[in-house]
Amino acid sequence: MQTGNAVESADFFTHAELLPWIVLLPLLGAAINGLFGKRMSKGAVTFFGVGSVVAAFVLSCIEVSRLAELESGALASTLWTWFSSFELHIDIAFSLDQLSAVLLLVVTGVGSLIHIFSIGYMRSDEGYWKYFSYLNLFMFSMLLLILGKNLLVLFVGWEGVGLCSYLLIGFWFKDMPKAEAGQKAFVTNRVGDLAFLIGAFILLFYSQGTLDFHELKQTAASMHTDQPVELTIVCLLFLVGACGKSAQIPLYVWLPDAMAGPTPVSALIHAATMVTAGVYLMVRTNFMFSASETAMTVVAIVGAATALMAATIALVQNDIKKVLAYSTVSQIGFMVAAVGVGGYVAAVFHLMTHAFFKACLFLGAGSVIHALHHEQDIRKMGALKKKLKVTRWSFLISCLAIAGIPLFSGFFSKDEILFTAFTTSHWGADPKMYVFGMLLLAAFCTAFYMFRLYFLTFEGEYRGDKHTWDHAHEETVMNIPLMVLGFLAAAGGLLGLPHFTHAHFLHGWLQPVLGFVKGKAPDGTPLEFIQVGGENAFTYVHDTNTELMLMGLSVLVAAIGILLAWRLYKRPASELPKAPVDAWWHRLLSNKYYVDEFYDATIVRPLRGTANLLHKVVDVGLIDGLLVKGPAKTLGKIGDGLRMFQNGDVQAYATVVVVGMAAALFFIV
Amino acid sequence: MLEQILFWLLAGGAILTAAMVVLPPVGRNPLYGALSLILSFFFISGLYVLLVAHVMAVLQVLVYAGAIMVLFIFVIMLLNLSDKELGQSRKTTAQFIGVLAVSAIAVKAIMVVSSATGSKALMAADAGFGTVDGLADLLFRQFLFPFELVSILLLVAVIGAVVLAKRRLT
Amino acid sequence: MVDDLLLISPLLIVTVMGLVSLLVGVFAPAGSFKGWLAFLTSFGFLAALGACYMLWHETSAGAAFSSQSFHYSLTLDHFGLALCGVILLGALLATLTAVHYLPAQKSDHAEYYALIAFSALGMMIMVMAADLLTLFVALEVMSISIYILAGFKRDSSFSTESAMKYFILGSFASAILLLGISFTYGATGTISMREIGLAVAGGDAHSELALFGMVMLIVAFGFKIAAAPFHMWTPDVYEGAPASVTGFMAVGVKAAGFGALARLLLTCFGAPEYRDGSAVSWETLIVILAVISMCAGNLMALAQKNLKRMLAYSAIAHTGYLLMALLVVPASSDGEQALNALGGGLVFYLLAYTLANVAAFGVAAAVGARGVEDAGEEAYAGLAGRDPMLAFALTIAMLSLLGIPLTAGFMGKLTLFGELLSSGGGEYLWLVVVAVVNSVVSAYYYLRVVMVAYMQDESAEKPIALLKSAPLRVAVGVAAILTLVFGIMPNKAINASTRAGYSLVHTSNPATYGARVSAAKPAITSTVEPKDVAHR
Repeated sequence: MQTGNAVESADFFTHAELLPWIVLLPLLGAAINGLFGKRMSKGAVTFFGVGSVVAAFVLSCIEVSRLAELESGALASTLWTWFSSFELHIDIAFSLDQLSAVLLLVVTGVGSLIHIFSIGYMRSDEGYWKYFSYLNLFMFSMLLLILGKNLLVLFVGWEGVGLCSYLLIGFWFKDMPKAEAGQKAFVTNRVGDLAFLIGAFILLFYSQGTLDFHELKQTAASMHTDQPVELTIVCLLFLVGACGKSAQIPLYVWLPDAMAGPTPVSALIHAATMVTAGVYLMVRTNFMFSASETAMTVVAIVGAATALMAATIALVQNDIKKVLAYSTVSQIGFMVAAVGVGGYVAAVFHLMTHAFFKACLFLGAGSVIHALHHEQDIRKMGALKKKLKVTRWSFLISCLAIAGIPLFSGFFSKDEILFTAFTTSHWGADPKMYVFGMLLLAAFCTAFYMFRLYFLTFEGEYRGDKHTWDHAHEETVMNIPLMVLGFLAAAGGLLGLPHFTHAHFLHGWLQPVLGFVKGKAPDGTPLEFIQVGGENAFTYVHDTNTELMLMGLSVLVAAIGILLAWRLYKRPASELPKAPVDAWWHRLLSNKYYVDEFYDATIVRPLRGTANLLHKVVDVGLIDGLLVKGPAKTLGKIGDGLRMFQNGDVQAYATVVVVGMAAALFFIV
Repeated sequence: MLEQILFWLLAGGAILTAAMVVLPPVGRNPLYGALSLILSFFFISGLYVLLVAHVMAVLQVLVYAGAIMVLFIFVIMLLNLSDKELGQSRKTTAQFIGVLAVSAIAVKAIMVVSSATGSKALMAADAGFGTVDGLADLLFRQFLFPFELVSILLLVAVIGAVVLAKRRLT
Repeated sequence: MVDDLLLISPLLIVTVMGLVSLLVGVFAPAGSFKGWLAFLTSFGFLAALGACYMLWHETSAGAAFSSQSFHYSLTLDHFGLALCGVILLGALLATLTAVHYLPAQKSDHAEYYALIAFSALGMMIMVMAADLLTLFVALEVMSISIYILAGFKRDSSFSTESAMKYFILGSFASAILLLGISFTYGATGTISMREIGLAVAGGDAHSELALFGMVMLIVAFGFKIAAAPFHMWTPDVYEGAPASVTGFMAVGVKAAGFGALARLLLTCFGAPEYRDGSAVSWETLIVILAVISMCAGNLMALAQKNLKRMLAYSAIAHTGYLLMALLVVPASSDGEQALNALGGGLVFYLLAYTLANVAAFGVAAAVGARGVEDAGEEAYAGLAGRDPMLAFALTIAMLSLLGIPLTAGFMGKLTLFGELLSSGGGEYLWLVVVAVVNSVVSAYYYLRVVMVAYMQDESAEKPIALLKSAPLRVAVGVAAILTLVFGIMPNKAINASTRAGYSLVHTSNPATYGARVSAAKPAITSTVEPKDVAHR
């Protein structure tokens, strides 16, 4: 079976020699800056740090255009056999298909812009070289994740981005509490990674030693018929992995804390790229998820619940970055929900547009924070449109995009998610209307909190101190990325025009990956299917009237949200509504539903308690107290040789050995 | 029959004297403990005789009961520890559990070994066994390598004694 | 005979180097710097490594000795050679960390290097031993050297106490080992591993007696490799012994213990009914030990503040992972399951573990050399600022122990878990899950070290001076770099270690290896055949 697959793989893939360089260039940049950065001039650090990523973007464009010219198949490049033992065979190999191409362009493109932005933002930081070294290392890991030809290379990137984000969160910190916040992010991520790994091991067991995505397709199809339960378990484990990386319920708690890092990092890692890795994983393994109805239902519920929950929390946040963080959690919830209802294209589409407008929002926030000397509280801002013109316009455009105002990018992608949720059925079940409802409500909240943020920051009157106001200004090197991203946030939606226009570019582009099959309903409505093992798993209904009706509905919802925010917050400082801090719902929301406290009480403290208890009971209590019962063991007292024998440790240790041996003997013999 | 009786006498004596090394009242005094150990070695040497391992029996008395134990006793007498320095002997839970576990293992061992009598493996030794000739054959032919290795072991032990015991050179 | 000496040349080289450094040391003026002896010994280790490499290519599937004394006592196969390589690598790097560390500890004696060489000799013979007597003597050579080394800081009551504890408990374990050997001899009438295997497989052995001996042997080795619940000595001894010794002890004793245990179990008790016939098998026992070890080790490590003590508990946890390697049943080329062979997991994992621990303890030596070894993690605060290179190496070591991709530790875990999954129809999937959960828990304490080193400022009141030592930095750096190299391009090493694991098929299987030896019948004929002696 393996050899057969290998032959077919060889036919499927066209060799691409530039592919490894896309991954390696950022690594090279990271190595140069990491090793010699301390002694190099800032210009040189910038050259290697930013240049490597821009070069990677250029190479990506070349390779993607090559991919577009291919008639079938995908590009691939194998570096070396990583690992070959027993029945396992795993290469260090990269592949570029239509799905990874979208991600590749987004990551290198947005990544380049954020690198350029960082030149201005980090200019006065003494760890300039270190920052770029970490950032490049992150790009390297992210590109490994995207281009990995098999699950294991993807996992290397998966762990790598987690590690880099851990390093970058802690970048500015020398004090332990904040570093521990970074550790919280890492440990939460590890829980997800654990699930991912176990899933991969189970998959490995059924796939006869291969983890290549291309070959896993057959595995999924055979498991669908022979081991449906196991397949569902693998999917659910992957979902948990995705929840960790993409900050979904129940593992979303780390992302808001991760905002402690520098703002461009938040833009790159915690908005545009890394946090969407979970969505990428699920779309990448769509052939597995499509097969399992249970798993997909869970995915949809998790996504929709996260979208709604995070959106409500964002309503009451006052830190500009926290609002954006919860907004990110919520928007990724939209993507996960899209996967859950079978809208793989919609998920990738929203992932892309979200990368544009959310990166733009974060960089805008960074520009504001930079201008106001690291002030992040929106209650102390206002009227900044007079000072930060470029930032204001790009921010406004992105707000319109995320709120879903027609013709801006977010409108198209969000509508496609809602439309898919409303019409798509999985294995013949009814469309998941509750997902649609929750997402619609979340969309309303989104429009409200984004414009609350916008009005409080850029409109009204300034509420901070005068000195800061006088010095507030923008920088050109930071404006350029803002303008580019603002343009993309406005126009990015053109890649996925609604289905009735028959000009959905992304849908056609992803066809080779997802393999849609066209059909017709009895009443003539055009249908499309995704098939698993020859059966129709997903049924998509492309009904023009429904699509138009839903568009109207979502525009209405968004408009109400914006108008409400306008009424409440576009006012002079004295007339701003007081937050109802005593209301139960406000307390509930501003305490984030008490989830952190809940985890602390149910997981963190019991675990730490168990460790301490074990330490106390076994080490101190059992050995010293119960078994020794002698004078307390104090290291200072152990002077002469004789007391050493008498402190009892040795006897107690020997006793444990003997008891263990007796147990083993009686058990075995 | 005589062999049986001798065996039980010797074995019982060996165990009893070995217990006396550590158990009060005899074991309370290090000197008496060491003397009990010598006794135990004698009994074991008797067991070797029963097993027709004459050379081993003689070596046991010469090396252990003779040389090594004399050294032990010298050291103990040089230290000349008083009762106060020895301190109180303590009864700990560890000792109790330990004795219990060891007894359990012993019972199990006795059960297993007694069920093994008549096993093919437990055969009588043939002629030449236990003589200097036979021992030399084992040491210098079949087990030459471990025999050589023992010399390294002794060297290491000597180094250890020197390293751990010598005063700091100033 | 000369050929035979060539076949044991790694052993001879190490012995000679130990003797030379001992002798040369005697003539060095008292109180003078003895670090140069380290280079002499290291050179010996390097030469022995070269000899191992040469023999590896000479040996097709286990070279036969022509003289009986060797061939009864030693087995020369890829398994033994590979583990000798790991041990020598660990010894080489650990020796270099001691050069300036010992003077800083005021324990700069020439005997140190001789003892390292002799304990390495003991370890190497342990993994090559073909009979239980040789095994025992080799184990004692190793152990006694290590006891002395653990107490090498004579002025420190802490170090002396740990040595004493280790010595008493170690002797206790030796007694158990001897008792186990006696029972095995009683059951089979021989102490040659191969013949024990024959007797056991042929049903000639008294099975209860043999099992009794087997359990005791496992317990005794469980003590040496620090498997829970026989691990109690580990934290105290690791903490008390000088850091350069702990580093060597952690890696060498573990490699030797696992090598000997694997060979012993597979050669003597490889027969199916002793392996996994029913509950009465060593596999069950090993599984239990593995689970207890990893859970206990990881949970206890969570509460530790001292790096050396934490690494001790981490060593227990890794023993748990490593024990899983003994359960792997690889399929040979014809698809048959080879009960008496290993996959590539054990040797490669030991290699990764060795490198990571040498690096970690090297850093501990550099930080602790000025007498703050007993201090907690605050000694490592701000290490990144004081010495970026050491901090980086420490990070790599921690990431490797944790099993982050692109480090050797990750590949080790992957090989081991992957092999265990594909052998035996997936019956150990649950064990792999337990191990993965455990390795996730371990993230907490490994990363805390990294966090302290990078994100905390060193305490202002009493900044701790680092040991300036070029050899130590070279050793730590080489260990860190090799950790990365074996993480990124591990395939050759994994193939070699798989070959090592497979080679047991030939050398432990009475049918195949016996035939090979008799084909190359000894030059010196003897009137005493091994069988005769054993059954007399």
